[in-house]
Amino acid sequence: MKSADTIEPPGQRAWVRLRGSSSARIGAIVIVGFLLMAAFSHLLAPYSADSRDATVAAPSGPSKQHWLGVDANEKDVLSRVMYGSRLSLFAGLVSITFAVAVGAPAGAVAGYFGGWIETLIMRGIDIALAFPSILIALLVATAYKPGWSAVIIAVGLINVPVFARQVRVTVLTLRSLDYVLASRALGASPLHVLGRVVVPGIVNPVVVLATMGLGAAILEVAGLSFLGVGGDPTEPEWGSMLAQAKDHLSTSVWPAVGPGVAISLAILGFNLFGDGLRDALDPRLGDS
Amino acid sequence: MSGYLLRRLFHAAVTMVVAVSLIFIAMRLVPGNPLLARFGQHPDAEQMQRIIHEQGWDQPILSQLGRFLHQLATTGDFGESISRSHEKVSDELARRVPATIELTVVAMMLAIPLGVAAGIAAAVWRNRWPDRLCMAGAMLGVSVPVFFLGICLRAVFTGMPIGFRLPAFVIDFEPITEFYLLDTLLQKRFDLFGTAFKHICLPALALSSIPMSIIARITRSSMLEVLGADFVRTGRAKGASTWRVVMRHALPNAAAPIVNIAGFQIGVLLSGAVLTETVFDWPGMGKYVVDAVRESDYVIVQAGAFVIAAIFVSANLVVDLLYLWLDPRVRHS
Amino acid sequence: MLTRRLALIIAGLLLVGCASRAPSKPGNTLIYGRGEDSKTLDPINAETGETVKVLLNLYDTLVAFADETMEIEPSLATTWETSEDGLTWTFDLRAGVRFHDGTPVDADAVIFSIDRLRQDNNPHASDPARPYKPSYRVIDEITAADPLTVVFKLREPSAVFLNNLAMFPAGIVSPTAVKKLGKGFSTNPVGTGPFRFERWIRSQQLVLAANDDHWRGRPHFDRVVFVPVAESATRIQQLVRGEIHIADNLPPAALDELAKNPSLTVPEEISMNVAYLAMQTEKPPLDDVRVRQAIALAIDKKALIRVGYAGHAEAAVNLLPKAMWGHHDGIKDRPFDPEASRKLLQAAANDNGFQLPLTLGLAVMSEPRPYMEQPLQIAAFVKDSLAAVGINLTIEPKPSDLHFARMMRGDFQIGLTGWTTDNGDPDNFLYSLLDLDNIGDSGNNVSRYRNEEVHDLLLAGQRELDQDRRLVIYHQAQGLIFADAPVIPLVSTKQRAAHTSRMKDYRLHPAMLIRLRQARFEDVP
Repeated sequence: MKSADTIEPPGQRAWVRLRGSSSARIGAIVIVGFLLMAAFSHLLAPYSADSRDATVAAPSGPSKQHWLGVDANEKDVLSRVMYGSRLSLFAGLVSITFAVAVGAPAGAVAGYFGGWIETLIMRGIDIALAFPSILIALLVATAYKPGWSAVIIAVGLINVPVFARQVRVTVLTLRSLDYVLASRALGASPLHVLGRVVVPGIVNPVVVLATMGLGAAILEVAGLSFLGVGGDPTEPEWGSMLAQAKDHLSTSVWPAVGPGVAISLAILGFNLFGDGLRDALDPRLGDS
Repeated sequence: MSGYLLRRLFHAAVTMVVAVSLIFIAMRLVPGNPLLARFGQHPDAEQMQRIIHEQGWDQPILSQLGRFLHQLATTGDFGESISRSHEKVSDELARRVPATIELTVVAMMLAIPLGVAAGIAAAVWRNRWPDRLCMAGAMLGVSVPVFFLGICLRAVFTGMPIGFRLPAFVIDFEPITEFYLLDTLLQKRFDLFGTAFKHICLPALALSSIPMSIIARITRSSMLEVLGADFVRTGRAKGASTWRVVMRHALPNAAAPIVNIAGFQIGVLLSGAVLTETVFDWPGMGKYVVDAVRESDYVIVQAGAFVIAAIFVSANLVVDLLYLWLDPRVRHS
Repeated sequence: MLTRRLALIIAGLLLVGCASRAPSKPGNTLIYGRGEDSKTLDPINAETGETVKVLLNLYDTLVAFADETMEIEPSLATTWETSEDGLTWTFDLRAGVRFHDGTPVDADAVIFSIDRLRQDNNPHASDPARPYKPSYRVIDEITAADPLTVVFKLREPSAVFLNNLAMFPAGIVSPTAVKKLGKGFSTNPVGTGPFRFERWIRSQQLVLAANDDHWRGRPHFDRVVFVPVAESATRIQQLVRGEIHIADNLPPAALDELAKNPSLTVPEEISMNVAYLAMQTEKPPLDDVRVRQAIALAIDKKALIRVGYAGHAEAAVNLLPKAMWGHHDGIKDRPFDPEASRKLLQAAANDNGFQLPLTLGLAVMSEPRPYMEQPLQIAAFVKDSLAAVGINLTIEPKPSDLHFARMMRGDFQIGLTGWTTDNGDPDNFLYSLLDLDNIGDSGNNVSRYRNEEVHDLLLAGQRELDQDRRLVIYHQAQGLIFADAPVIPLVSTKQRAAHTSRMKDYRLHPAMLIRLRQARFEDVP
């Protein structure tokens, strides 16, 4: 945004910075790892998600056959963690897309037009933020027909304010920039200004937020299914796996370790990458 | 100044009323009959219909809402639970809200000093190992879900008590404020204070991890900004010790964003408290409300929503005021 | 430096926490850890097992189930007799029994208690939600012949009337206390039981104290504290640490672990319950008996008992548990035969024009029940078993109450459910769970099984007072039901609990009645 008048294209500079950032690199590796795991879990997983092994004590810890142990259903934890990445990544992606699709336009409208429409949108956000997000998500997921789609919608909804707020602030800043004021004064239509200046301007912060939001969404999906709201709890999904393992903690903690570490790693990956991305796209925020 | 305050207060009140009304309406639209909980596997349609009629649950939603708000405004009474016979919701909340607040406060008392300390250390030894360590820790801290951290803590510290605020065999303790750490001190039951503290340790630790990490990161970046400022550089050039510069000049100037983010964490903490209470069987409000949502016991949900929104809004108000007081620029404008 | 000072402070605080000595435990108080709190202390409003558990120790009934069987023995009534036509029952009350508030137990108190339970508009029923009210519909009128003699007039002869009087809803309450306290009675109960009420802080502690003047003699414990601890893993940890003395409702595999601990005892007892798979027989494809039979053939009950119950259950062939009088042990179960199952399913598919694999929903409760400690694990097992024969299930968990309600509405395809005996009579299983009278929003015939022949038999069984003739009737009914397969009985569980080895003479009852009057600590005289 600031670098519009420099000679080097800003995209290229950002790319160089991104590649130089160690956190972005680690984050990217983790994310790609999970994406591969999700895409090829049917090839990578040692067992199918639902095959039972009656020969081992269930639940129990790591062994040669089952590297992360078996859960109380006599099923291989490693395989289920791998298959589970599909649902978690998918749910996170869809709910964040939803949040961006609803939140970004709402924020842009609020910031650009101001007036009563801004008041309305911002008050709505205030109200939504007056409750713990998990409670709202719980309410939405319970009210809607139970299933993963309910969880995705709920998680999407609670992330709408995040994007609306950020986009509004960005638009407010952009609106007061000299050349925007000038082009408006010269009679450019609001649509033209929106399309030419505002939309490109909000892309960067939204991308950064969405990356970090993906981690948050994965966490929220897992949290909801941990609380028992979700689709079929016997499907491989990290949150439900943890919930089930919790009941058998006294027998073996291992079935909790696999899904727990997977959730943490996935969130860590998106956070690291998001951090790197932010530093690369907006050098003022970074410290180097 | 007082005009601003009044406006903020009014704003907060309106937000609360609208928020609670929305929850009220949403709960009525959720399918499910909370009365079923009283009948379990022995339901009787005739009796249920009668109770629903007697309680006015078959009237239009808006008139029920009016009744609820009126009752709340005039008597402050939340009514009785639907799924349990004669359970006064206010009585329950009077015990559970302090339990949750105590947990949150202890978590914040861990998170703020430790987070600030880590942030300062990271800023002072920037790009050296304390920085790397603290920031890696902070990164990990925000990434590990509180419910998994809770399970890990339980598995590691098997010697720590969990599940109660005090052991079940203590039947002679009469709380005053329901804040056990405070009550045990007030009653000079120092042995019980120690026990109560042990009971709250693990859940508070689990709950504190995310705010602690976030506070550490914010402290670091706002300290770095201040440490780069002219007056700090001057102070350092004049030979003041790092310690003195940090405590006297840098920290006060970096405080405003820290307070702001700490206030913002209250929401995160209440969300986290719901999950923490589940993992540690902590008898707080989060679990109470979550269970009520699942049983669609709307009397509890709307009462809980009201209380949560009240805590939230007033906490934000306090933070705003603190911010006002800490940041001279805001104060003068 | 700042960090160091802070670290010191924190360490100091932790030390204070750890160094302080736990207060000495009162020696003769039993601490009972359970999964859920009581919902009420008023017997007429009780339904859940956790609620009943406390009531059994607070109240006495006119007659009672024996210590370890379903035999009826005297309690507040010492003797009773029936008229020739079975319509008039006369009970002689025990003299000199007093309520915990000191008022005497007389015929009026009995009439007051039972009327409160059964009458439509009884002014003393502060909460009209009385789950067991329908069980007492048969009573027409209760009168006092003299202060110690009560006469019940019935509308029709009933084989289960006496058993129903032994059930907890018919606990005798102090009329003085009910009149004085109104709805406060539900949190401040007064009965005649071996323990009297001391205090109840909801979701924290429920304290009972020994009733020194109980007519059976004083119980051994001075106090019993019931504490609700939702997570079973937490209950286990507390038990191992000695913070609670007994815990129930634990996962079977965890109990096996606990049994290895020398300081703990894990008693095991048969129980009169059944877990079963109900199928909505009104809607296709489950209206076809072949589909239901195919499902039965696909389930390996032996493996189910291993995975879902850690071996502590018995395969069930029909709904009536083996341990109960009236059980028909001549019926041979369908074998586990996936091949036959697939064939049967294919035949049904060809005739009815549906495609395989079938996609169906499996409704399941999300909280443990006595007959199903791990509902989701059982659901997963059923899902995997049926997947092998061409039925794909989607599991639909719901909190128990909503789950049962939806099943009663018939709004499901396959569902997991079960039953624990209320009164020890076959009627309580077969009529309640499979008679066409009990189809509907509040009827427990969730499969919506309609068979006129079975219906006639079950009604005859209710009115017949001769036990031998009743046995023939119930055997015949069980045979017909098995052939129609409206439900697939899975198992009857063994009930287990874990308690400190210091506790002795704690007896599990086949109807899962938790009565603590005989239990004691061995080191307390």
